[in-house]
Amino acid sequence: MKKVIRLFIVFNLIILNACDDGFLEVSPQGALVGAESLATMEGIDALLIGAYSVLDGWNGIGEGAWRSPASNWTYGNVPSDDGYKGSDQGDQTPLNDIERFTAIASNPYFLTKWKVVYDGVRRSNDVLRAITTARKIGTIDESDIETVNIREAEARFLRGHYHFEAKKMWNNVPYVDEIPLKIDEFKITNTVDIWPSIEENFQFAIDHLPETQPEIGRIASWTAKGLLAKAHMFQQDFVAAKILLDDIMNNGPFDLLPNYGDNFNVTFNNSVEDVFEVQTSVNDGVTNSGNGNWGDVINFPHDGSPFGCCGFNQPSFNLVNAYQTDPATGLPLLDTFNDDILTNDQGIDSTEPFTEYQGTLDPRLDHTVGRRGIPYLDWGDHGGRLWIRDQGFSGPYSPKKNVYRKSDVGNLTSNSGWTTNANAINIPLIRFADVILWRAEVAVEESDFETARQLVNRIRARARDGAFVSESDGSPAANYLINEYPTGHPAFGSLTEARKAVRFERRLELGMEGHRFFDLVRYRIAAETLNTYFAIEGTRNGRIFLAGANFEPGKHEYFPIPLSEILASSSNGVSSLTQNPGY
Amino acid sequence: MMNQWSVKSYLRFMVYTNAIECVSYGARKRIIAQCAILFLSFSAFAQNPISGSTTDIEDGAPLLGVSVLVRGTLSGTVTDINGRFTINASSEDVLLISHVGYETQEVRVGNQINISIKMVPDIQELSELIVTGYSSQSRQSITGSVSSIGAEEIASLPIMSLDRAMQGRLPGVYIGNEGYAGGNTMVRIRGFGTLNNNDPLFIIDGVQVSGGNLSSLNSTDIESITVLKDASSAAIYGARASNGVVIVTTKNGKPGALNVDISMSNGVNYVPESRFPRMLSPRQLAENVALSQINANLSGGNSGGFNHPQYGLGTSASEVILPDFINPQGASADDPRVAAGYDTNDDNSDGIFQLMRANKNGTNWFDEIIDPGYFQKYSISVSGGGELSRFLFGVGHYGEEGVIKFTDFDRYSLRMNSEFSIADDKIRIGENVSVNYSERTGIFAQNTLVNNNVESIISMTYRIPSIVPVGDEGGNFGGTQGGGLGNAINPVAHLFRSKDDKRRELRNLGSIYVEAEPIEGLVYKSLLGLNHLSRNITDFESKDPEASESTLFTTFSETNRWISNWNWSNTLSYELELSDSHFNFLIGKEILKNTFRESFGGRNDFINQDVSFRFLNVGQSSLQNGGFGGKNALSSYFGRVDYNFRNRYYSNFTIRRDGSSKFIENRWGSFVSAGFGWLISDENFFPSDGIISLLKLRASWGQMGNQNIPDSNGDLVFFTPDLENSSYDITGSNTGSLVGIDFSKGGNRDIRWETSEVTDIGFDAILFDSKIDVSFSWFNRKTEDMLLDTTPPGTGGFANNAFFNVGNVQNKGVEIAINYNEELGDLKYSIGGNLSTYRNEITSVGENASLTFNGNLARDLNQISINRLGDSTGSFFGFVIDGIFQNDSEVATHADQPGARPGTFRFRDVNDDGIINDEDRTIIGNPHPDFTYGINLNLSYKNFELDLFGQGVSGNELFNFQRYFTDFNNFQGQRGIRTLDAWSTTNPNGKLPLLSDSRPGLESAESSYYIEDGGYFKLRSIRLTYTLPPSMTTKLGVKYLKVFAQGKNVIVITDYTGLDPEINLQSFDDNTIEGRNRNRDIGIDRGAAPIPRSVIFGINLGF
Repeated sequence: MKKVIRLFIVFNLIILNACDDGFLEVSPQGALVGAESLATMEGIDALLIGAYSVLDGWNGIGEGAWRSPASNWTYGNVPSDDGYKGSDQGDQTPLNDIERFTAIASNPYFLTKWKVVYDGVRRSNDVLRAITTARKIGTIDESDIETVNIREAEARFLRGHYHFEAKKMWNNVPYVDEIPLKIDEFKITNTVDIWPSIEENFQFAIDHLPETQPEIGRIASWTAKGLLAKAHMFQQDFVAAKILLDDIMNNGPFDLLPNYGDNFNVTFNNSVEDVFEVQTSVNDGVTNSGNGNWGDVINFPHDGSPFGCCGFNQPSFNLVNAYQTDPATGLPLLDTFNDDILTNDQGIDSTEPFTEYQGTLDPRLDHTVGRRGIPYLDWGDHGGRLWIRDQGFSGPYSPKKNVYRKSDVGNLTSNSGWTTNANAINIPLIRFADVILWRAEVAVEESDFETARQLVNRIRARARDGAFVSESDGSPAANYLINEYPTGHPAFGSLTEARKAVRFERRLELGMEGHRFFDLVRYRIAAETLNTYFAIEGTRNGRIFLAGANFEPGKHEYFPIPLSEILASSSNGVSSLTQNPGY
Repeated sequence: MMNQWSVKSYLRFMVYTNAIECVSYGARKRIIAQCAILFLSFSAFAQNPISGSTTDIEDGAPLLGVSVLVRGTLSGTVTDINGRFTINASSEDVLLISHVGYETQEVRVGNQINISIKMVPDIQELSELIVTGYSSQSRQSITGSVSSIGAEEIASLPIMSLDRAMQGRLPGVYIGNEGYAGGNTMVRIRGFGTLNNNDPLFIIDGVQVSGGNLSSLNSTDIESITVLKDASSAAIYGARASNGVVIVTTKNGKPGALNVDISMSNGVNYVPESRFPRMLSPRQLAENVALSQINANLSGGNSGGFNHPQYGLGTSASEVILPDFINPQGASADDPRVAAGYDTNDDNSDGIFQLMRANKNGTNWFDEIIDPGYFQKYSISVSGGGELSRFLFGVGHYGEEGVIKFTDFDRYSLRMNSEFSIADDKIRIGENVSVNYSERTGIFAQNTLVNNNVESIISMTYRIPSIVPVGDEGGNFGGTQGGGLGNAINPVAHLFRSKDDKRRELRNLGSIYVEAEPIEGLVYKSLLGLNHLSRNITDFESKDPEASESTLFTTFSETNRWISNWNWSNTLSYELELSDSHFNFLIGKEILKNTFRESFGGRNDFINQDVSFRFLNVGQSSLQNGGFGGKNALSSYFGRVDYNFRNRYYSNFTIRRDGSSKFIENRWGSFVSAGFGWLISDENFFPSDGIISLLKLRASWGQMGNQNIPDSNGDLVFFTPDLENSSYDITGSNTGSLVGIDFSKGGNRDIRWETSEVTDIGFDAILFDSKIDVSFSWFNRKTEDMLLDTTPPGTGGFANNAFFNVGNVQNKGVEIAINYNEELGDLKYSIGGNLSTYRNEITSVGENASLTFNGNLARDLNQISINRLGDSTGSFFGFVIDGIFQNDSEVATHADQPGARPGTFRFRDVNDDGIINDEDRTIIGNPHPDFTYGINLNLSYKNFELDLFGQGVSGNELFNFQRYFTDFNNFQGQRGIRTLDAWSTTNPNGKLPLLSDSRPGLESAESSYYIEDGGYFKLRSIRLTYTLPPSMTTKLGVKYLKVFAQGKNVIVITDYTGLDPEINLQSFDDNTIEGRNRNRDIGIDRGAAPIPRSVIFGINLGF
């Protein structure tokens, strides 16, 4: 027995007392741990690239980039009078509800958008935290101090931009700075207006950013001014906006491109007209060209076309009608544009003959909308019904501004992925035309109608003087007629008329660019505009899916806070997030 | 035939111990060895002719052909027709007496000259040794819930993967099968203990095999599978035991003559057409589409009617015209374009067009992708041994053509098990080594989850319109290119193009051990185990020009994974006998380390489709690559004491202390258990009226852990350079991005083990003169501090969620097994059954009682499954449908429902607040069964034996997600026959809403409409075996020869309308090393491959 006990003791000594602590220390594989490891110039730079990376609305959470596209087509076009969801009625059904304002808080689109914009905020804050730590522990070389200051301003700009996206969508949103770290600390209330915080970020960026950056994708101070001006416009703070807009127009490096259509051509990425634009790239070694404009990959004509997928984001009859011009003056039909439907190939097979609309049109129509018989960039004529996924459902038109040219295929379009429609056309968030038209809005509100008219005319003149969409023989593809508003035109005779004219111009100029719904809310005319639109589209224009849709003022100006977020931010059954009114 | 007692054998055993010295119920091996030593020492004794007789202990009938062998010699004989034998042996010799179907006996000759041997039929008995944690125990001494099956039962099942042997056989064990060839198996023990990983711990010959697909191992090699369900048996595995432990032991040789065992079986797998989901004919579909348009009145302008690219134009559904050709639109047979036929197999051509003739009779797509498949299974083993060594060497092959076309599975396995005694048997060394190579061919070889996925091949088979032909007029595949046909892909084309995809796995699994017994009863054992897996996946994606959303380039990708797990355990055990008290002590130490790495690469644009051309270098564009890995370690101490008093009162106590690299601040955890057993029928007060001849009561309690989460959770933040999600083209180059870094994962230094506390009470009884034995267990398993990656506020921007200890889940249930044996002359039969239940409830979700955990999304349905306080895990969540609105006034009086109008679903206003919104979603179904059961019947008459085995599940519900595509207007595509019963003014009792292209989004939202009864009964096996009589086998020179015919799953009874109801378990993710494989949603049919039925013929023979 003693021997047994002795052997047990020996066993215990030899076998049991292995050195455990070292054995059990296993570092995470392929990852860096802790903020301090990145508190260096290299780390700050890398984190900032990560923060820029979310600008395209795609951070890899795998829920469909179209739920959070940088272009905002799902939130700016679809629920507005510019466009329909498109495709067929059963694809991406949650978007049907967004379009009809029947979406409820569990609609997965909202959740993705929320997660993506706040991921952008998070990444921006990670940069700022790394900078703070680096300054504290002294890991920044003397020569890098100024660079770090610029990086800080870039991160602040991005933080402001991502919050701005949230503000536009939901109005009542939490503001996250670099303080919260633990999960509970992110359960932040959404009852405080975050405009001041957003503006503070932009102001910091304006104060610390250079006018130009060596790398074209980096934010410079002019961009920050543009976004701050936009923030003012959203708050109807025309006085503050005016100062910035004048500064940009008078002192900034921007101008309109001679040809309107070039704004949507990959060759003219980062052009003189781009105030704020998201960089995209394809075939850069990233799986499926994830850095391309993935948010819009389903917005191409469908199977009978060369694109194969998927027919979303189709322009509305209402939008197309808006491009009619007065055959005598070449001016828009501000009040009567929607009295009749512009001739179209609805219900006509591609093999059957079709004669296009012969009346006068704003040339921007055919840069904005793909329609039968008109050259679809360099792809030949739009194929009509054959190219449309379900014309009976979503009408005869295709989007165009996000579409690449045939000559760019393979080079500036993706070579991999389930769709190769991802391409390198940068996504314009603020064009110089935006700036001019905001300034026109300011002028209207100041009752300076003449300035407004001149600014609008500057936009129209470019559209008139630039290249029209043309047939292969160089002749205009349609009967284009566009002119400036003459001096003393009644459209600029009163506040009401001038507002209408400027806003209409903005719609024509920026059609299908993801602004329209937010503009309608900003103008506080969403309910009247959209309910009229639903009534006519739903009956006369044959879009039955819009019949009975109703925009409820006081509720539908903002989308519901995602249900999952309300649940995730609750403690003891009480959520730090308050649902928006009416949901 | 498991978990059973037999008083008959118990009594026999008593007879035995008197008659035969050398066999004991204790550590049998050791005592046999001592006999052998005895024998060796006195082998010089004179040999005398010994005669004897062998009879069946039950009926006294003489047994013919019984093998009688003098141990350690080649001298042997067989009994004659009267059961008699004569052999030369000395008084110190030991006779080995063996016969098929009877237990082998060892009889010491002593001074006997006429030995009468009563042979005992080979059924399990009290003294049976059950392999448990780090040791073996007699069934009598087990105080917990342990179930096992033996080699014979495993052999009777034509299973591909060893874990499938447990289905329906072991109470409390729930099996989910992936229906395709080489598919994975999901094992759940006693319900779903956690919202975290529920995989049990697999120990194969002492080697930890965490999760993973066990189909690469040869099931013929298995000697026994033991499942440790309660704490007193499983807690010795501490931090990994909370989901139960499955211990697999492989065969080894037995001392005596050399055995060669050969088994061969061949069969056909099939799925009967009667199981195929019922779909609309092309005309019915056309009418459906036309009606939807007419009802929505949206075919252009103000006019009613329909206008469809395929079905023409009209004002009533009866006017639909099926086109002659679906592509190009308007083409006819004499179309001049037919000459320009496009060859889809030539990847260099640009798609011109395809002439696709409409299949007006309708393509039965399920019939097109499902075909009978041949399968075969062969194994040969050679085993044997002497006094100092024993060995088994075996090879096996398993080949199966999947019932899904162009899918195959092949496995080749090699095994070498042996054991050697040295130093007067004081030291034994041995090894169990297997090398297994398996190859999965076809679409299921791919790395992504291709089964039970909304984008799976099965889902596409539901979705593709029946008017689409399988092939076009030019000999290419047909597809949805024609317009108005939706975006489903041709599943046959997709299967065909994937037919050369391969998943190759080489798994080396084995252990070497040394066992020393320096002092009698004191055994030291050291075991080193290795589980190594190398996997290579090649996946080629072709162009599919016939599809409406076609891909017009080729892609090839190759993935390599390398997994290496090793463990080293050292144990010291001591057996001590003190008059009436019997002690067993065990202490041990174990360390293990798991490592894996994966790398992958891909390229596009292969100029040729030739299989031999599929290497990364050949691709011309879009170079992609990546890689990742993981590592974790565990270190443990453990001990156990077993004590019994007078073989009547049993108890055991275990403790284990584990340290895991997955935790930082709470690295170490301790787990304890205790169990008690009382053989109450041995007490004097127990009535000996013959009704209850044996009754053992048992109870146990203990704690176990679960640490199955991804590696490296300890630290607060991780930043991972991420090409896809954190790179940006900062220079505006359009074709190059700068790689950044982003926050990739939250961390939590404070997390600790998830702990399960299990109470188990039960009894084992033998009734009515041994005819009936019963085993019963009640259990209560409470999992606390579940390790969950809670959904944090998106406001924090977390990419991957941190893990927290949140919430509790409770599983309570009972398990009953009953067996009845009877003999009527030559007819012997036994009937067995087992029944298991569990009730699962989430009893806490932490401090925040409103917290819920969602299952995975299914397409656009956002939250089918919910895990919340007070409900079962994975409960189905959605709206309740109360019929259909008949008229405007019903709409007006109902709560405010988005899009409501006559003919739409009427959603229940659950919270009665006058508005239909998210708040009105509620629990609409429970995926957990009321009970599961297995029944087996064994009949033998002379040389014939008939086995029937059935298994069923009752009371569970399934979420038939395929209804999203087939019953509602989601995507253009095929619809099912239920849409014929859509509501209309003339069909006011219709079950589905008015067919309409103008449909409010809520219509196909997650609702009670999707819920179906998922119960089923499957006759898993019916097998008729004929054993050749000994007279013939002797002539043929073989020891035994059996032939059998078997049917598998030949009868399936279910009300489920989908392809197969057996999807109640899912998430077959074999990446458990990363801690996935959770069960936050179960029972959702996203398009699962069907479980095939089989007809099999086989031969088993031995030399």
